[in-house]
Order: sequence, then structure tokens, then C-alpha cells
Amino acid sequence: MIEMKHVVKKYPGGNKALQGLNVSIAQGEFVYVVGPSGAGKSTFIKMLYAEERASAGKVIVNDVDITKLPARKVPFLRRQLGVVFQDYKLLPKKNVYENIAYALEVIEKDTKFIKQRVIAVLKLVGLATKAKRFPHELSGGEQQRVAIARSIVNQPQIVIADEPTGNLDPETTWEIMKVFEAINAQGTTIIMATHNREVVDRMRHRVLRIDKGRLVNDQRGGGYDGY
Amino acid sequence: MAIKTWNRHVRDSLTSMWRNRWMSLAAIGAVTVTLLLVGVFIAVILNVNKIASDFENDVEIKVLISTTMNESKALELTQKVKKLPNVAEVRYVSKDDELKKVVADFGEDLSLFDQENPLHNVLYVKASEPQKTAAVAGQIDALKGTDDVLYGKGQIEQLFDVVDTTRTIGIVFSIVLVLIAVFLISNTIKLTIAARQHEIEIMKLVGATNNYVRIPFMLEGMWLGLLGALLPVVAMSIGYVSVYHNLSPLVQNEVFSFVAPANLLALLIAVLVLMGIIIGVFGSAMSVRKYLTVK
Repeated sequence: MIEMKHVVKKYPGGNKALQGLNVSIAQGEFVYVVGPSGAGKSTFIKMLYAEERASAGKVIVNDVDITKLPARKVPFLRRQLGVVFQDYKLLPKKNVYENIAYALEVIEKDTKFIKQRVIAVLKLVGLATKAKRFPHELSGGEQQRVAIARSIVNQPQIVIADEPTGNLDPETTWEIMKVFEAINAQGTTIIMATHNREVVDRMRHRVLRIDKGRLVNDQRGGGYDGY
Repeated sequence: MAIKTWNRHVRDSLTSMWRNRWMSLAAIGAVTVTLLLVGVFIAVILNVNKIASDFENDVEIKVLISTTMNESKALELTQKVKKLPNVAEVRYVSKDDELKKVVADFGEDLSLFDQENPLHNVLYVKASEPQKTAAVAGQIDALKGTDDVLYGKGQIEQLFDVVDTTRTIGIVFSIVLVLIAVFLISNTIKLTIAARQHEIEIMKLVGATNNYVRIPFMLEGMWLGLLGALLPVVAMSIGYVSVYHNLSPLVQNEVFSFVAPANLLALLIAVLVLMGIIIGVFGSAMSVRKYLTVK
């Protein structure tokens, strides 16, 4: 499903974010990516949807080596994935409904189908009553849930989330984690970068620990500290 | 591309223009001011050109037919002149008619000459192109039966020089002004898009292709250009008709006249609307491209 082989990422200026990373993730897994700030978590995540490109090695997503993917094919890779960005990345001049619908409009789905799907995911994340609101009218937690709704509206096989609970209070955090668990229960692969020790310890899943650009621990059902 | 996608692009472009309405208004304002300037300038240039041509076309050769020639021989000469190369128009005026004109211009006192008309029978000749006047005059002079061939030698060369210079200056100014307009308008549109580069990045991250991102922006540029052209078109239409009707009577007896509103406005409206649309569309396309290349 997802495979990284000897992935190296050097940023201009010589900073090495990843130094030969190997990992393999199967369909339907729920994987936490943990590690200190600046360890390479975000680079690892961005590598999966080609926001960053590997300097060396292979990144295989759904059987395609995306390190060699030409720029014009990148949109088609992104359509197979759902990505929840750390800063949400909602379109500021579109309302909640339009933000979520946009992900289906770019793949030219019918308006009727789009309406059904958007309403369904809005219910799932508990925002059915806020469809007409604009992002700046929502709280951080609500924006986060819109971002999640957008990432799953296309029913992708893989959902990638970068610090999805980073700015949330504990209560909202659990609500959002329940949404991810529900999506995972339907067979969707979840890859989540997080700093939240409590979440990782309470909802046990596979944990990948990245430090100084290397995978230093890979444990199924492990806690935040690797035990 | 599917029709539903085009509908979405149109819808997105209109919604986005409305939701960014202050930016849109600023852009429309810039287009309006620039095109108004272009419109006034085009009107002036076209009239200067028309006046220059009127002066040129007024140049004619006056052939004084020898007094020894009777009327029928004079008409034979007319036919000969007509057959010369580069002759566009020959008009025969008998000496009696010439005298009537002189009397009309200068008064009854001159009617004394009725008994003994001192004037010549005359041919008025126009060359096919004003610049060939001198050459045609030379050919006529070589024919037998003419006393003199007059065409304002020296003066017409000067006139042609002035007219040519005016035209050149007009063309250069037009090009410069159009370039300034292109720069101003596309720059304003660039600003409205630069403010939204974050949006473009997000669109790409959720799987939009470059075209999917680009087309609504280009449509938006088109609407902005079109709306920006609206006021200049209306203002020029009303303004030019009014100026034309006020100034035309003042030059009624001159050799020149102004360009008729119908002719001028058809061209002017086409130019302004097309400039608005084309610059709007390409201005957007160019500045979106800058942000599309990022990732």
C-alpha cells in the first residue's frame, strides 16, 4: 500500500530532514507518527502527497513510485488520498459546504452525488447545521472537523493527518479521534503525525517514532514512549 | 471538459468576484480609468488622421486651358487628361462658370467682366494619390493646349510632411498608451490574485489540476475587464456624439470635417471591450501561472 525505501530528503541549505527512511504500511492500518519537533514528521507526511519530493529513495503509494511522478500527474495522486493539514487549509472565501464539495468538484462528480456525500460527511463530523458558515466564523475545532470532512468525502483508501489535534481542547480532541477511528473501522488506512501523548497511549495503534530523520522505533500497539 | 464543470467555473468566478468585492471594485476602477483614457485618445487620433486626410485630398491641380482653344477642343483635352496614369478625377469648368464663382466670392463689381471674360476655361484634376500630384501635373504640362498648370508647388510638399509627422506621432502615442494600459490593468489584476495565492495552493493540495484552478481566475479577469469597459463605452458614446454636434457647425466651411460618430464609435467600442477582456483574461492567466508552479 505505502512503502518508503531509503528515503532521503535534503532541503536547500543542506538541512537533512530524512536520512534513509524505510517503512511499509498495509491497507487498513492505523499508524501514529511521533517524534520531537524538527525530527522529520512533517516532511515524512508531505512526502506522501508529493508536497515535498524525495532527494533519494523510493516512495510508493498505491503501487506507484511517486518520486518520479511528473507534476501534471500529482493532482491525480492527491485525489486518491485524503489529507488533513496541520493548518486546516480551508478556502477562506468558500463556506463549509463549498469547501468540502470542492474536493468532489475537481474530480467532476455530479452535483446530486456531491450534495449527498457532503451532507453525509457533515453529519459524520457533527457540523450538519454549519454548512453555510465561512471558516473564519468557526472555532479551531470546527475548522479541523471541516478539514477532516473534506479529506474523507472522496472515500479515499488512505487518510493522512498532520497534527489533527494540535490546537484542540481535550474534549474536541476525543471527538475528532472518534471520527478517525470510525473511518479506520471502515477499512481506511490512517496515518497521523501527532505530539499528543494521551491520544497515542489511550487509543493504541502502531507507532512509528522518527528522530533525526530516521525511523528509530516501529511498534504495533505501542504507547507514546514505546512500551 | 464537461458542461457541468464549465458551469462550476462560471459560478465560481462570479461568486469569488462578489466575495472579493472590494478587490474587484478596485480592479474595475483601474480598468475604467485606463480605458477611458485610451478611448479619449483614440477619438483624438482618429480625428487628427481624418483631418490630415481631408487636407491631403483637397489638393488638386488647376489646369488653365489655352484661350486659343474653343470649347470642343477643351473637351478633347479633358478626355486626354482622363486617360493619363494616376488621374482619379477630372472636372471641366468653363470660363463663364469660373467667372460666376469669382463674382459670388468677391462681389458684383467684377460683373463688369461679363462683356469681356478674361478667365480661362479650367480643368480641376485630382491624382489617384495626393503624393502623385506633382507627377500628374508634369504630365499635363507636357500636353498641348495648356497655358499653365497650378498645384501649389512647394506648399503641398510641406503639407504632406506635416501630415506624415502627425500620423507617425499618433501611431507612436497609440502604441505607448496601449502598452501602458496593458501594464496598468494586468498589474491590478495581478494584485487581486496575489492576495489569493494561498487559495491557489490549497486548491492544488486537494487535487485540482492547473486548468481547474486557472479557468475560474481567467473568467474572473474577463468579467473585471468587461465591467471595466462598460463605463468608458457609455461615456465615450454620449461624450463623442455631443462633442461632434457642438464642434461640427464651427468647421462647416473648412476643407475638413470630423469623423462621424457612427463610424468612430463602432471601432472605439470594439477596441475598448476587446482590450478589457483580453487584458483581463491574460493578466489573470499570467499571474495565476506564477503561483501554480510552486507545487
